[in-house]
Amino acid sequence: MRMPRSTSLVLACALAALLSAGCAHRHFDRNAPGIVDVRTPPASLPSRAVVTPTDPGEQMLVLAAGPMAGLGMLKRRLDGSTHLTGALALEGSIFYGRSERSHNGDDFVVYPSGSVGLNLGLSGLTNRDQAKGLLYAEGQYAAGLLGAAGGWAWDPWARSNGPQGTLFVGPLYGRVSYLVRDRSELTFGLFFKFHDVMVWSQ
Amino acid sequence: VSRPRPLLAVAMLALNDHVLKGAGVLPGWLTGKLSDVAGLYFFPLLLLSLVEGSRALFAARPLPASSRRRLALGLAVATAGAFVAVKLDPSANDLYAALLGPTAMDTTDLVALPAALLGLREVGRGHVAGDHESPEKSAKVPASVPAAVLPRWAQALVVVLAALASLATSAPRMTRNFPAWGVTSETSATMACASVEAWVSKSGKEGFGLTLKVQNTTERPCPVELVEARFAVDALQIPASPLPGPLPLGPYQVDYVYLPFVFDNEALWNAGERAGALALGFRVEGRALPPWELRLTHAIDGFHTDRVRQR
Repeated sequence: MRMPRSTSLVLACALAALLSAGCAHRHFDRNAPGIVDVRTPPASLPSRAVVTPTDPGEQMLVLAAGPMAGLGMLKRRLDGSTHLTGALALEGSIFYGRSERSHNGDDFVVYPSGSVGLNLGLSGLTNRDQAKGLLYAEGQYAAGLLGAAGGWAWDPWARSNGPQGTLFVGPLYGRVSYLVRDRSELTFGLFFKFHDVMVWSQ
Repeated sequence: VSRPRPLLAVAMLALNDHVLKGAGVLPGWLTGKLSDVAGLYFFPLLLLSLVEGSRALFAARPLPASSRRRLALGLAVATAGAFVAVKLDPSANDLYAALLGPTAMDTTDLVALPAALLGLREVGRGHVAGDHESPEKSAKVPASVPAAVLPRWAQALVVVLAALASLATSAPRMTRNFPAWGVTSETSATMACASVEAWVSKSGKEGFGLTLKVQNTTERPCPVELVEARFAVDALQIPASPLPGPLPLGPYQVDYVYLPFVFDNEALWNAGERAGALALGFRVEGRALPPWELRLTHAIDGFHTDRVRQR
């Protein structure tokens, strides 16, 4: 089963993204007791076992950082010209989330089922003649592997700024930036963030 | 990996781990063996695909068929060796558990070992004539050998899914633990004609519940009444409510009593208050006895319970 180089590259990127999702996590014992009705006796009084409580779920604070790489288009507002572009970004995120079900020790991914947070990033474009890059800040909402982020982007070199929006599914993202009086950018790519997850009970 | 038999093995592994295990459809020993057979069959092929994929990024030419066969054999032997170590050696099993999750140390699982070598047969089938060797050698590959059954993008997807299937575990083995109050002093006492044993039955955010086994140890009637049950922790004095009525125990009769102690246990846990004292006052045969004092601690035994090791 021989694969062409392009397929191998996609495969390597996909695997790297999957591995990057396998994050480090740390437990904190806050709120650790489970949910159990102590007012009523257990079903079997002679049993010496402690009744297993109901899972209250978990809360998580996630710190994530890593590179993003994408390809896309750039349209200059001045002359209407369109250019293909590659984008590399370094993004840091902090978000808080909750999961109705606590993770298990052998879960491959420890991640909140719903979360809100903040992304800060710096992106650079490969087409040096057209634009250099952006600083941006986004608010983010994610539900499972799906998420959306919206915020503002600044280009300090072009002295321009404007709104930016991002949609992502797992490690895949699509991003549009609209810089008033300068350009619009649309990029699609992958991010490879390392996650440090702090977990405690609800 | 993207050929029918390895695909079947991946599907079997996923079905077995995520549906059949614990469902009660098949006996536990059989589901365990099915996973081992499927895993040993396709895992060397998965490794081979990953090695070839990685190599294609840096090398212009693919592996010659003979090198590929040697590599496949080496990967199969390495997989089988690692499998044997994990099944027989506690330190290897611990390492595997730390990396990928717990797996049972069951020597009968070694019957699945031949599956690692069976997977090698797919290596020969994976060749397309003219792909790897000199024209003379490639001409020896029979024309009837089928080419890959999937387009290349699908092959890549299959490899990713197979990697996930091999990493994923079955129904959770490491389930969440919860802290519980437990009696750390003597759990039984003699109260005149009765013996009393105590243990915590329930423990959660809203307090805990204590069960008492009360037994008449004589041939004569032994009326027992619990007149006080008070749990003291930090500055709190928490009475059991409600207290049970009198227990008119006949000769050697056993009865059970449940005492709920309702309080904000979560706040105490968060404040680090993990030790308390329980005082139980009894009246036996009409006579009040000195209170029985028990010490309780609130503890958690790790964040997860390993159900495999528990067994």
